[in-house]
Amino acid sequence: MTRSFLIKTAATIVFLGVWEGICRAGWVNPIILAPPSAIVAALYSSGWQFLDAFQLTILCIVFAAALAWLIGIGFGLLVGLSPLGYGIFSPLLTGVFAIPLITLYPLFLVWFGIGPGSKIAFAVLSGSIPIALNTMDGVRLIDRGYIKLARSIGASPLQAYLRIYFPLSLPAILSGLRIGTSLVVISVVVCEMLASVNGLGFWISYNRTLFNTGHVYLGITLAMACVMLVNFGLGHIERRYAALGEARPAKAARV
Amino acid sequence: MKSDVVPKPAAVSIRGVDKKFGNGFHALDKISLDIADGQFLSVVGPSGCGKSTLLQIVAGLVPASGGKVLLDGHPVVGPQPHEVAVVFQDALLLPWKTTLQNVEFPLDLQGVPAAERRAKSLEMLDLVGLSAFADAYPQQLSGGMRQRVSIARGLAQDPRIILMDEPFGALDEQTRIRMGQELLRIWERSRKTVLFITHSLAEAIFLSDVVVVMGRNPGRILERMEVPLPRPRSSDVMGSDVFGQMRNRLWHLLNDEIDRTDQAAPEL
Amino acid sequence: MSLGRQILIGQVLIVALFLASWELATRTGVIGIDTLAPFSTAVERLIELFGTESFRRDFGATASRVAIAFAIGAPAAVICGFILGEWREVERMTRPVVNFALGIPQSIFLPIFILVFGIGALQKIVFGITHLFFVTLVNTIGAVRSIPSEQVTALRSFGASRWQIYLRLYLPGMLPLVLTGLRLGMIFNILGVLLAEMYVAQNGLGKAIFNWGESGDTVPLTAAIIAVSVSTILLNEIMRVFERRAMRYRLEVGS
Repeated sequence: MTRSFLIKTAATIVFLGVWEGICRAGWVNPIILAPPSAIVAALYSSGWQFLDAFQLTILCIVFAAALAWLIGIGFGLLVGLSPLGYGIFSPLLTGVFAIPLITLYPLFLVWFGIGPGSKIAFAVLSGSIPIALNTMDGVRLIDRGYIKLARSIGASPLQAYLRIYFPLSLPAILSGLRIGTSLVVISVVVCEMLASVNGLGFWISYNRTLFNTGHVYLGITLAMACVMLVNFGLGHIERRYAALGEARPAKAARV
Repeated sequence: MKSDVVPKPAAVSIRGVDKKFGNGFHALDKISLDIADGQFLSVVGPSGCGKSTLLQIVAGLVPASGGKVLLDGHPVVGPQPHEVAVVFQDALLLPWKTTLQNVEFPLDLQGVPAAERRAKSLEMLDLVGLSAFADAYPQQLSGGMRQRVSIARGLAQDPRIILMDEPFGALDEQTRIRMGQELLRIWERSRKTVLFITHSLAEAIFLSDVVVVMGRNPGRILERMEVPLPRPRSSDVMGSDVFGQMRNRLWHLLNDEIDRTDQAAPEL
Repeated sequence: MSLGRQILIGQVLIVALFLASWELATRTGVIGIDTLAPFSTAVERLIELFGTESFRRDFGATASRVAIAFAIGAPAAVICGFILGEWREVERMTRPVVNFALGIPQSIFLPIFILVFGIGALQKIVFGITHLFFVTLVNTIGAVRSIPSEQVTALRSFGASRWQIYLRLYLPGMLPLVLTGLRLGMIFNILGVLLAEMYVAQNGLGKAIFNWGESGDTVPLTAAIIAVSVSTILLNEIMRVFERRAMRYRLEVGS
């Protein structure tokens, strides 16, 4: 393990060195590709200004993700349990998801203005759909026996949803959350790039027009890191939970 | 042992219960049946005779199309978790809860204080012989053990009536026989009123005071038989003449019914 | 009444309710025309727009970019997918790269595409191709994998030539999944081209939509969004019909 770690570190250093060298030698147009040193330099240029932008973006993401989770899971739970509700809404939402939703963003600009409101609203829309779809699928696959059990032990509808159906469909919900939250992050950044006055996406776009290529690469790297963090973090939880459900009898002792 | 005692009032009284489904299928045709307090009554019948539907109507999970069910004289209008516990064919345990937490779950939902529900649940786990597995998760238990947890969960609700819908139907033959013996032991200590649905004739005779045979198309009662075997019973009774004769009789009854309905409904 | 019919009625009701409340709210002035154009007005405007030279040019520009990107990217992805699917060792080596590329949010790399490819049609087409490539590739690899190896062995033992195996076994077997890959690729492709046009462009439907949004001109904006939504939903459903046909064909050939 330490050996492979060493190899990876060495490979990374060589890679960065070659990258830096190619840029320094002037073999690549500096507008197209910035050397690693320029990307690092972009961090502290203009007095850590990008941190403000990044902070705003993170706030938008957290807010939008919370709303998308709530709406997506809530809707999915309510609709997925009835075969009729599932039959109606699953194809409709799948169909809506085929639309390039980004074309709705200008409409959101008209409704919510150029500030964070339009980003959050759009991110909630695009993020909640896959969460709702996955939750529905998860709830639909619950053994119908649990519904009878819930009623026979006198669970109230709220208790049944929160304490039985929700945890039972959690593996599917988690994979929806991974996809949906990634989409929230991407949506916020892309919306900021398209039209905004602040935020990480705006910072990237603004520096692109100034041909500050190092800044552009830094911003994109950060945005990508956020997406990967979400993907990896929620994916990790998803796999652990799935493993819990699949665990076979360790010691299938007597009867 | 029981016939000469003053008859107790019926714990469950099924009166003219009729069930037709939306697609026109006549599942139950005016079923009437009484289960005495503390009695173990089994229902056997070919698949499609509506025996599971009958149980779910008694449980208040499914509404009847006609007739009514009385529990101690009170009509059933919905699930009655304090009066009735249901044990299903699948154990239906919650995989993220331990054995003990699963048994506690119905009491937890009803807001029973933690200490009280814990004591009660431990007692029931002890009764089904799974005290040692209180902290295990369902995935670590065998199929038979899971079903015993599910029985303990039903008992912990402290119902007067337990409805069991083919509880051992998903288990292999060996486990099934052992679970039957186990259930008998548990029942003899708790003496609840039990309505037990099964496919297995031997299981029904071995466990019950009364066996009811149902026919299908439409679902109705063909015969009601007292089981004249003394209690407590051990597995030895299965070798007795009385047992063999009863089993033979039930087998012929069901066989004739299947022959009759097969001719009437050739698609089966 | 059967569940299928109930579902259909429910879906029609929901779509009708959505359109009716949209129309009613905007007609009665509950929602002002500055916020949202009535559905009927937008549809009327859409018909008018198709009569104007400039809109036809924008629509044509976008459609041709989407078509070119698909014409280049789709065969490339299918061929690469076929090679990777057939050539297990290469696939195993390239799998981390493909998985990594699939996980990367391509949308946020848009500024780099502009740095590299400029703001013309080429950049839109390349962006469209990268959007469609990986999803089509992965589905094609999956399609090759779905061919049972026992059947290949069986055909070989009957003395079938390599081409006969490809034609009789691979083609019908792979078709459904490849079509799924092409359909998803097309959806991503359209999204990519429109997004690129909305970001920076001289013409195209995305550009037009974005401009109408910025000027708050809701009537043509709504009209264009309807045009995009209806055409993508139609395209998606048509391609799904082919998928289902291919699935039936596969089952018939297989039996």
